[in-house]
Amino acid sequence: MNWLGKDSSFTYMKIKKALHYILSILTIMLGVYLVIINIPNSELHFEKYIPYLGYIASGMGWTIFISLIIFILSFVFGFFMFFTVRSKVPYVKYLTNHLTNIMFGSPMLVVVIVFYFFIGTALKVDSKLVLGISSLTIYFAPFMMKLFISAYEGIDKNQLVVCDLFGFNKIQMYRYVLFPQMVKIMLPPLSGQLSTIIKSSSLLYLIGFKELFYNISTVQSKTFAYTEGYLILLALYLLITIPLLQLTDYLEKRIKI
Amino acid sequence: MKIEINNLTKKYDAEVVFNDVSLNLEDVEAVALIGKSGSGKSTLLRLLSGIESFDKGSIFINDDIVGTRDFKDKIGFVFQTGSLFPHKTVLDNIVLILEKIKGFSREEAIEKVEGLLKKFSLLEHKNKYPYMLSGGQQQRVSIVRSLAVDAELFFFDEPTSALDPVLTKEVLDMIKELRILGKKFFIVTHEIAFAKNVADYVLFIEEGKIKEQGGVEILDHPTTDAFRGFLEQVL
Repeated sequence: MNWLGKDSSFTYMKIKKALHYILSILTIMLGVYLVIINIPNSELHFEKYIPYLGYIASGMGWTIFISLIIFILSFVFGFFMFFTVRSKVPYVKYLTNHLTNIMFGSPMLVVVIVFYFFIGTALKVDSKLVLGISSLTIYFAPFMMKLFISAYEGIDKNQLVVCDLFGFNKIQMYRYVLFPQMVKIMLPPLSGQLSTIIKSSSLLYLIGFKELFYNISTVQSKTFAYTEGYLILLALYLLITIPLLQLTDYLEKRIKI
Repeated sequence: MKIEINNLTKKYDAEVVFNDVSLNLEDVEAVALIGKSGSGKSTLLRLLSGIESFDKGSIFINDDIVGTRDFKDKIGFVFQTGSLFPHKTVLDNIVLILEKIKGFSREEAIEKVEGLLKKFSLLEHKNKYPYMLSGGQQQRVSIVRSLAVDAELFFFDEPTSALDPVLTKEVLDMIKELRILGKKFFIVTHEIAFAKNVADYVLFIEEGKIKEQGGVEILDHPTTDAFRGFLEQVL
């Protein structure tokens, strides 16, 4: 029996938790600080970045925008591939398997470069936006397909029989019964996928696409404030991804089925 | 109900489950399929309902060819577990089918479903998701779902095998009620006492053959050693 009584022991637990939380964050910050002060000439001049705030914000906007587009397109394309894998025509299935093997086996960097310098040139497309988005969409679609496949496997197959008996056609079965359940199963890995896409979009700096990483690099070379640039970069990416992960945690708790 | 099975053959890859099985029955209302696990009784139920295809032969129930759209519209199938849609509430599980598939307006659908849920004392659960219900309630909702589309013929695949005795009783009571409503059914079950009570014909299946058949009295007076041995084990 706690001499503080029930209520105060509850408050005590809350305070204890909060202290531990703050302590854990301070530990991370201490780590970052210790690294920075050990870099030679490590006086930080974040003010050098002030004139470029609009430029950085536009980079951040592009990063979010293309990430969302790539996420949506690879989701749709992955869903389409999910059907091709279950197709009765072996040719279609093999084609999907080859694409999957190529994308699973290649470094993303190589895929982006191949798209921009070879496929883009061959098809006479030179839009960085189109080529950047399509390269990463093709890269991520097979991963999405795998998510669809494992979500489908998580569904009780008696439901397919039930749908057939009640007269659902294929489209109705997917729309009303399978797809909503698959999305619920896919929610946690999907949020992981989205943050991977956000982080990976920085690779598009290779083809000169003006997203966050590219823009910060440009400012770095103008101001010579490299350390500050990387710290800002880190902070801004976390600013995008952490709320996203929190949102998924919240949704996961809300949706129990 | 009239049942006609002609030279039915069913294989899973190389394994032959049924080889040239025939059966002709008339004027039966409720058929119990009884036998050990692995005897083929559940497979026979799935073949009779048309949810599984066979390799040779033909099956007619009341002169309908099993497996056609017409036939499917007349039947309901209740699995051991898990036939409800987990992402829909009890009400929506049934309203979805009436509204989107059977062409009811939403209001009509809700009215019909609520009436049926009330009749079977399930109305208080209408806004719950399947995972919030007991196994027995889930089975009863799935029976109501088939009643909502006016199924005349029910197939039960061991509907109580996953339930404890109390829940078993509520499901069995409901199946009895179906009988009173004039519904016909096939049931695979281990509940011999229940089969005696509610069925009017019994098929004893062993190793893919109908070893013994007849009215429920054969449960008390088995003629083959195999059936006698089986009944001694389960009773």
